[in-house]
Amino acid sequence: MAPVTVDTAVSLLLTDLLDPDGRGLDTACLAGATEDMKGRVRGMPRYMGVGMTALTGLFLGSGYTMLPKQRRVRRIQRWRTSPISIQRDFVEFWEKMGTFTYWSRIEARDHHAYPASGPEGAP
Amino acid sequence: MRKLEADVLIIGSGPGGAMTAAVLAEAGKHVMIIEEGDHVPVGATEPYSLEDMALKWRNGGLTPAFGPVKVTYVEGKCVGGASEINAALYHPPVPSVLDAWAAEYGIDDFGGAPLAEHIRAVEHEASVSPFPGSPGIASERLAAGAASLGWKSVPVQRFWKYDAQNPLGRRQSMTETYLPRAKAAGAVLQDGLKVKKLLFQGRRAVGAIATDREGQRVDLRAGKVVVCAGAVQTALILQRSGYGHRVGQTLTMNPMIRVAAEFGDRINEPVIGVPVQQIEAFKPSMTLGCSNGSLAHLALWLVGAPGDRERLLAEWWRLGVFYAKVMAKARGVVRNVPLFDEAFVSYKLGKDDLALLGLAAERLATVLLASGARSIVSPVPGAPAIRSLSDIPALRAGVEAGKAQVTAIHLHSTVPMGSEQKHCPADSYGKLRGLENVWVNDASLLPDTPGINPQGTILAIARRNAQHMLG
Ligand SMILES: Cc1cc2nc3c(=O)[nH]c(=O)nc-3n(C[C@H](O)[C@H](O)[C@H](O)COP(=O)(O)OP(=O)(O)OC[C@H]3O[C@@H](n4cnc5c(N)ncnc54)[C@H](O)[C@@H]3O)c2cc1C
Repeated sequence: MAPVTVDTAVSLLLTDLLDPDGRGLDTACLAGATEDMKGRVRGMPRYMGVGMTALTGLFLGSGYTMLPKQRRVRRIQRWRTSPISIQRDFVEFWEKMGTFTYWSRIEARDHHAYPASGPEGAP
Repeated sequence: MRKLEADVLIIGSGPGGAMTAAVLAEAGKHVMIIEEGDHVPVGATEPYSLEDMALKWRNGGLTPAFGPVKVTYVEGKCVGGASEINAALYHPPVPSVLDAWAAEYGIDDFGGAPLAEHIRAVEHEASVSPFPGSPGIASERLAAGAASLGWKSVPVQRFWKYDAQNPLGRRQSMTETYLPRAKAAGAVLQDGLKVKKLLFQGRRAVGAIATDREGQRVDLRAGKVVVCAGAVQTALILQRSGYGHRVGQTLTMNPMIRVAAEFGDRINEPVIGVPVQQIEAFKPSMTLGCSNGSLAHLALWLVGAPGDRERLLAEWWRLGVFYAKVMAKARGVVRNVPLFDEAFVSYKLGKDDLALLGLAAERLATVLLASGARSIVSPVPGAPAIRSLSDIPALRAGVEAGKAQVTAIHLHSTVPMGSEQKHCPADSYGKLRGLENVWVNDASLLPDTPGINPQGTILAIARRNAQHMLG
């Protein structure tokens, strides 16, 4: 089996956060968001970035990528509602920033339709 | 090692630094402006986009302030400072607030009347202008909702210039106004240099140590130093330089909550930028208005909301983002994290502040429903949407309990000015106590939050102080 790369693991985490029901995401935008998220962790204040990198490694390294989707989503939910605040903060960061980066990519993809008039069908 | 020299070293090129540079350079001083961020011309990036944030915002966007209620704040890091990333909304300084500061902090020759000439100059020099024609659908809707409740609202003016070729106009940030003026008068601007600390000989500063993008040391020499790095970074530089005097102990912010609201028909017109309507009725203690509604921001404000995000976003033109912002009493503390040389900000919203924010949330939801919103996403993660007046008490209670997501974009008061020595590290004109030749001239000097959009106040005060430096 091919080793799991950081990109694959991060992309899986984003997929589980943004699309827990498995309805499907835009593959190119997801790949872009994965790249952007690595940049966002690098861009954090370094004293926080070190912690976030370690926590992400802990979360993704503990067999997360080997689990079936349902169990991965349940693990995220446990961290989201955990009594330990750094676990909640971890989910909040990845969910919010992941959403922002993914939809930024969608926005860039659809840019031709987005400005003044809006996509077809918009009043 | 590189060495740079000037009469006056100005650290930071935001509104405070740019204004100081223009006034001093035009008076014939040899001025050097040192800016940590890069130069990114106006229009080179889409405002509020990921690219914009990566290039012009410190830490690529939001930075958390720690406390029982987490408040995330934003700082600019580019030539022109936060004037390059902000909504450019102009609010004239409130005379009664200025008069109260003069009295409470003992600021000499200060208040609504003494500052009036500087305010007029700023309005003229930075092209403060009304939005031409209709301010757009979101503004009109908000205005109609406010009017139905008997609340006054206005389309606020902006630092913006319009002409026949470009009816949408152009932002008049520092790179378009005071920085070109300073450079035309001989000022030198160096971007990509981060000032680490000031260097002293006794009570005199002789310059500063900076590092360039590659981490190489650069020595800066000057006869006078003016620190204008913004409320958080100015405090850090002074702390790293060993200057005590309670610097960084009294940070103020205007905490705000934001909500996405769904309407029955079009509300969102990206081409307009941030819609300019603000509700005046509760100013300065509380401001309600419109926020950036790009797709990515809409998605962000829908996180944690129950329901079908994709369905809502597919019809983004029916969604808008709105805010409620308050003048909080809380005082935060800025500390330098040793080794990392970065800010650690703690900020504790008090019970009164949360009560005010809860009331602001109530009023925002009330006016949005009156404006025709069908549903409002609660700023309290996981809470149900607000669809009728009967849902509002739960919203208010959630915000009062500190459960809402709170952000801040207006930061001030880390080096308050005044003759009241116990609370004010800077004198009535921004000169630091105990030092012969170091001034602060940015948002740090405001002794308290002005409540309103602060850039106009910062510019007017910076102009007054820079002229005073000339003697
Ligand atoms: C997103 C956002 C929206 C806003 N909207 C509005 C609005 O619509 N209307 C309004 O009136 N106000 C608005 N504001 C607030 C306004 O922009 C700020 O109050 C104002 O820019 C502060 O000016 P300043 O000179 O104190 O600092 P800043 O604008 O923060 O400038 C400080 C500069 O110093 C540089 N610097 C920092 N540390 C160093 C160092 N060590 N060495 C060298 N350089 C350094 C920074 O990179 C920065 O460029 C907004 C702010 C933000 C962030």
